[in-house]
This record gives sequence, structure tokens and C-alpha cells, in this order.
Amino acid sequence: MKIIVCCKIVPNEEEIRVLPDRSLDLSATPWKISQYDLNALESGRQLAAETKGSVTALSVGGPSALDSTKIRKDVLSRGADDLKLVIDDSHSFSDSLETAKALAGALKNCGAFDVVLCGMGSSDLYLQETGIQTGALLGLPSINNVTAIRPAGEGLLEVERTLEEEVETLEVTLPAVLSVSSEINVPSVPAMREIMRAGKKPVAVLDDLGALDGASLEMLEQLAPEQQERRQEVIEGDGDEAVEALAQFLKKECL
Amino acid sequence: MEAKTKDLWVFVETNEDGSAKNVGIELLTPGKMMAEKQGGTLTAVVIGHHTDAAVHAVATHGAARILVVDGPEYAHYTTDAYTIALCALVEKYGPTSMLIGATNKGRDLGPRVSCRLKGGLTADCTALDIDPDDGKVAWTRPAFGGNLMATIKCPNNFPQIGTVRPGVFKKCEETEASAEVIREEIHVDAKDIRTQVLEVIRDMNEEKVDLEGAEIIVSGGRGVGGPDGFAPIRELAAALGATVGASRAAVDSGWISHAHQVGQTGKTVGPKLYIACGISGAIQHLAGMSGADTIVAVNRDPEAPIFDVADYGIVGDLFEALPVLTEEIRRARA
Repeated sequence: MKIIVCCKIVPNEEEIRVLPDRSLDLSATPWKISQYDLNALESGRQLAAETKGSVTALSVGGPSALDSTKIRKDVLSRGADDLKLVIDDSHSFSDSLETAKALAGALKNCGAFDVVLCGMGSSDLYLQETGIQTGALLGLPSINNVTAIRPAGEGLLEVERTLEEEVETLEVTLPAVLSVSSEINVPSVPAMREIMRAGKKPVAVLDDLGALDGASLEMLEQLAPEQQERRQEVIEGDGDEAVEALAQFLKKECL
Repeated sequence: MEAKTKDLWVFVETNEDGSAKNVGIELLTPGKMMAEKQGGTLTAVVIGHHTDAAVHAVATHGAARILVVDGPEYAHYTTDAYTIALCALVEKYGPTSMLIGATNKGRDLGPRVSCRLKGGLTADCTALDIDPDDGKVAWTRPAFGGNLMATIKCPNNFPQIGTVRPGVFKKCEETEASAEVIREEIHVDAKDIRTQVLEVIRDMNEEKVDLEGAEIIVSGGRGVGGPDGFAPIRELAAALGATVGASRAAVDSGWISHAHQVGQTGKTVGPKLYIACGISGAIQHLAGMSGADTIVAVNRDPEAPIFDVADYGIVGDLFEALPVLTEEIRRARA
């Protein structure tokens, strides 16, 4: 089975600085693989092992994210056989439809494939729609919140999809686009051997064929949420006295 | 496509028994405000099978018009059938904007429909308004793990579509039904449905965890160390009459079910009191709970970011502190 895993390179949200005017400073924020895409890479690795298939990783983004050798090696150490990139600084990929158009354009250029795997959402924008939009643009079936994937014979997959109160088992015809839930697996930590091999795997840069017609959404305002003032009364130590003081606080203020 | 009317639509998801999901009814509340500002009719769209209960519920919660598509092919949700039906309705009636509840099905349907109609979609919104200058919807949603609230417009495409997080808006009071009900026959060929539903298992074992409605939440994170580590958390919760929450780290480790998760991939909560135990305070967790009135943190690491948002903190071992605190609370409440 030929598997393509889409992964987004995002600013590490743990290291974003909020400035006093409530804007964000991303200048010193390092890039990382979007954490939910680690689940998609892991699913790809497992499905390829079960079906004796192959995994191509695909990412679209700006040069500051995708030119990094470290990031490329990180993706390739997680089960992908090769990496395809669409590098374009002319748009910001701040809008999932733009991203989906770039992905759909690249997928048309990737040759035949059986399944495209995406994470449930990117850890920066978390719109949770890029996979579905990519499927729609390519005219392929798409399924979100996938919590299990099983090969089901020629041209078919059996997929488990978890909803709020029920679990569905679906049969989907291939090719298809699946967005996997963060619950589907625990991504394995790459072994040293995989990290060593990653540097030797092929990386191809594709032309951007998709996102030519610009953004579908317009950003009016982006500000950090106003933070509630907190008292920040912190006591060192878990002795009875400290706990008693906490109990007093709770009784007085909250209960 | 072009909008033919100024109408605002709310897509109302139905359950298997034909009743309406709560979020659809909730969205009629902001829908009414938006329809008034846009000068259009608040229209609910109900798709399903045997949908009388859902139609009644929306009629008594503010919908002025209800479009109903009822048929066996809609008894269980499939992306293809629902997309075909909803797109056909949009093309016929041309609403200016549409709200969809951000359930898993809504998150699936919204982008599929918007893409087919060649437009964008603003997902997972937490606030809605109408720009008085041009009458367009201003969609507000969190980004960057909650570091940012972005307000977005969809300038060139109609309808403007957004999904809205459940629990953000409250249902309005029930009123006398006076809605105009229009039934549309839309049939979908079996060959156009490319995913087959083989089986649906209702999760009966899973305990109901009402985090969104909870007044007090006691949550555990990586610091609880294992499934047994939730015991003192459950005991404190029981003493307080609280609901048990968890961070992603604890859920991903398999120590507690996903239903308990608070944060970006879990629930957004707003209790009076939130007690975070062994939770470091990753930004994705803070995004889900920073609206709590009072935050208490117990953590061994004095540098943990959770203390930056806490009203009251104890730097210490939760396994020492919690049993004593539970005892104190029990005594006070005895």
C-alpha cells in the first residue's frame, strides 16, 4: 500500500512570547513537527509494516520551516521512506484551504497512492479541516477522527471513527484521505538507527501548483487573550500547615 | 457562489433516534442575534430520519423557518449523503451565512460543504458577531494553543460558514412554535456514498463526564504517576462534589479515559474552582481551563508554568497534600 502522510511544521507553541501589547513574538520560536502529525506518521509506519507498503511524507510551508535539515531528518526518522516538500514563501499558509490546495496540487504530482493520512489538526491553527478539504478538492472520500485502521482487501480499508457517544466502523474505498485522532496511537521515539538513516533518505522539492488564488479568509485581529489577574499565593512545602492554609483559603473563597 | 438572501442558517445535527443534538439548539441563540443584525430569517436545517423530535425542538427555540430533509439514507451520518443534501439546499436557497456545531460530524461536514461551494471555513469558533460596516460575520477562534484569539472574516464567498464549539452558547428559553416548515425531498444514490457504515457501537460503558457544566474540577496530570495515582484525586473530588479532569499527558499515558481531558484536544471548562494536581501547565492545557474563576495548583516543581496562572499554589507532593486536604474538606462539610 502506498501511503502519504501530510505533516505540518509549526512554531513550538510552548516557546511563543506574548508581548505587553498582547501580540505574539515568534521570532525566536523554534519549529517542530505539529504534534498531532506525529500520530499520522506513526499510523503510516504501522500500516506500511502491515501491508508491506511505503510511506512518503509530504509537507507544505515557508522556507524558514522547510529548509531546515534538522526538521527534514526529524520527519524522515519517523517511518517515512522519502520526503516531498512544497516550499513557498509567497503565502503564509495561515488558512487551511490554502494549505489544502497546495497539498492537493502536490498529491496530483506524487503518482498513484492508496491513502493519505493527516493528523487531527495542526497544533498551531488547529482548524481540524485540512485533511477533509484536501479530500474534497481531490474528489476523494475523507474521514475524520479515525481511531483505528485495518486493511480490508483490495482497494478497501476498514476504519474506526470515534464520535462523542459512539464508535463507528466504516468501510472506505481507496484512495481516501483519513485524519487520525491523537488517541489512535502513542508515537514511538525514533531509534538511533532511524535517525542515522534519515539523513540518507531522498528529499524532493515540488512546484507549488495549488495555492495560486490566495487566501479564502481575512484576518481582522490577532491578539493574545486578556489574562485574568491571579493572586499567585504560592506556599513551598506540603506539610500539614501548608495544606491547612489551602483548606482555609478554599473554605473562605470558594466553597 | 452568491448569496440569494440575507438568511442565517443553523445546521442542526440529529441523533440516531431523530432528536436534535444540543449544540444545534444552542446555536439558535447567537443565530437569532446574527440574523437580526443581517436582516434575514433565522433558518434551521434538519437532516436525518424520523426527525419530528428535532423539528419540534428547533421550532420551540427560536427558528423562524425550518428546512427538513428526512430519509432512510440520512439515518446514519455519512459525509457524502449529508454533503450532497446540504449543498443542494444551499444552492437552492442561497443563505448568507451558516453555523454548524463543532462535533466530530460537524467538523467533518463543514469543510466538505464549504470546499464544494468553493469557500473557506472558520473552524471551532468561540465568539460570533456581525461587522456593522459590511454585515459580514466576524468569527473569533483560539489559535497557537490558546496563545492567540483571532478574529476572521470570510470576505468573498457565500455562504460564510463556521463551526462553533459546543457549550459556548446557552439554549434560549422554550417558546411557542411558529416556524414555517419546508420539507425537501433530496435522494442520494447508494453509489455516491463511498463510505459504508458497517457497525455503530454506542459507548455505554464509558462514564458520563460533565466537565463543561461542572462547578468544581479536580484534575490530575503527569505528576500522578499512573492510573492508581488518580485515587487521591478522585477522593478529593468526591469530598468536594467535583468532577475529575485530566491533562493530555495523563490521558495519553492511558491512566484515565479521554472523556476527562481538559485542553486543546479535550474540553474547554469554566468552573468556579479548578484544582490542578501534578499538572505542569502546558499551553494546550491552559487553553482549556484558564477561564476558571479560581485556580489552585499542587505541583512539586516550583518552576511549573501552572503557578503563573494559579490563585493559590502548593509546591509539594500531591500524595502528601491531597489526603490531608480531603480530610479537612470532609471535616468542614460534616
